[in-house]
Amino acid sequence: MTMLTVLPCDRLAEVMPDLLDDPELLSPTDAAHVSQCLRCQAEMARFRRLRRMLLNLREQPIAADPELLEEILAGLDSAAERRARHRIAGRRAASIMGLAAATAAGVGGVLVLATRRRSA
Amino acid sequence: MVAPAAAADVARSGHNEMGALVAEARDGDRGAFDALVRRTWADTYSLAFRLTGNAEDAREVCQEAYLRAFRGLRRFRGDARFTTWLYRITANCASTQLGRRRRHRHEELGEDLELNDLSPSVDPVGRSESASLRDAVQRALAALPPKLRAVVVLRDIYDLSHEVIAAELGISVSAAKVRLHRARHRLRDDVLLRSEVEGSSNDDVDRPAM
Repeated sequence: MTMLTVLPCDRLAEVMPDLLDDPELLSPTDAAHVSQCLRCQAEMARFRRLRRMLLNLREQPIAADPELLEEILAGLDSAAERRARHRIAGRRAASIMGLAAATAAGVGGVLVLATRRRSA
Repeated sequence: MVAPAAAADVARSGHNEMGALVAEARDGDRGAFDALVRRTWADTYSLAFRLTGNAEDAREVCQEAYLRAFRGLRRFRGDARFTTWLYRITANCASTQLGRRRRHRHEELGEDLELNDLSPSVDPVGRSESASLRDAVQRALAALPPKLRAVVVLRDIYDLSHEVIAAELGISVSAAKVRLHRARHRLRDDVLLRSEVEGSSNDDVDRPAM
């Protein structure tokens, strides 16, 4: 019966993409292997190159339709107007509620006084 | 050519200006918020396009992101950069948009990424990468399934942490790492291995017969 063994290169190929974020994943034994193995070094170089190429895309903005800026600003204008209307409506509601509460308190007070006079 | 120290100063002063605009906008200055939009919209659109893979969705995501930022600016604590905060909102909006699309159309997006954006990179190493390889990266990114693409775009292009990516996409940190692992493997296969194979087959063609 033959025993199947996983070569360090195959095992390391699986963790190579993760090494970009966490180089500590590479144990000293594996690091020693990589330093001697051209296949693993090539694989590591591929992922580093890929990362570099992706990072460089950040400096290459995708051309947008200039009208989009106007649309965004118009959308913000509408949102700001809605917000202002809600604030005004909220203040009006608060004023009305306050007035209603004051009226109710006044009426209540008058009723209490009237009841006391009658009983006196 | 701008010296690195001078470039760092420019970046720092730009960051300070953004900070001042954010403070004014938080105090209710609409003009300051508009100025922030003007400074960041192209970058936000690029991110939205890379996440969604098409212009129509990118426009919607971009508009929604600024509306959310406007509404939530008072909650922005300022412990991260405004642009990073905006990236998070954009990623969240794109995730929602893609979810909505999937429910409506049941199809994978991003097969037709337009390549109309290739301004030269400021990184000298990046500049030396061949234009065809850059195109290949863009195409390979566009061909990734949206779930894989979102993670690799946010991590490898916009440098967000695993934790932030997981939070904005509504997945666990370990799921984000697994998706990133798969995405990088696929990009490596689609971009680098393919270019190596094509390069070696061209060598075979060019080599004179012995």
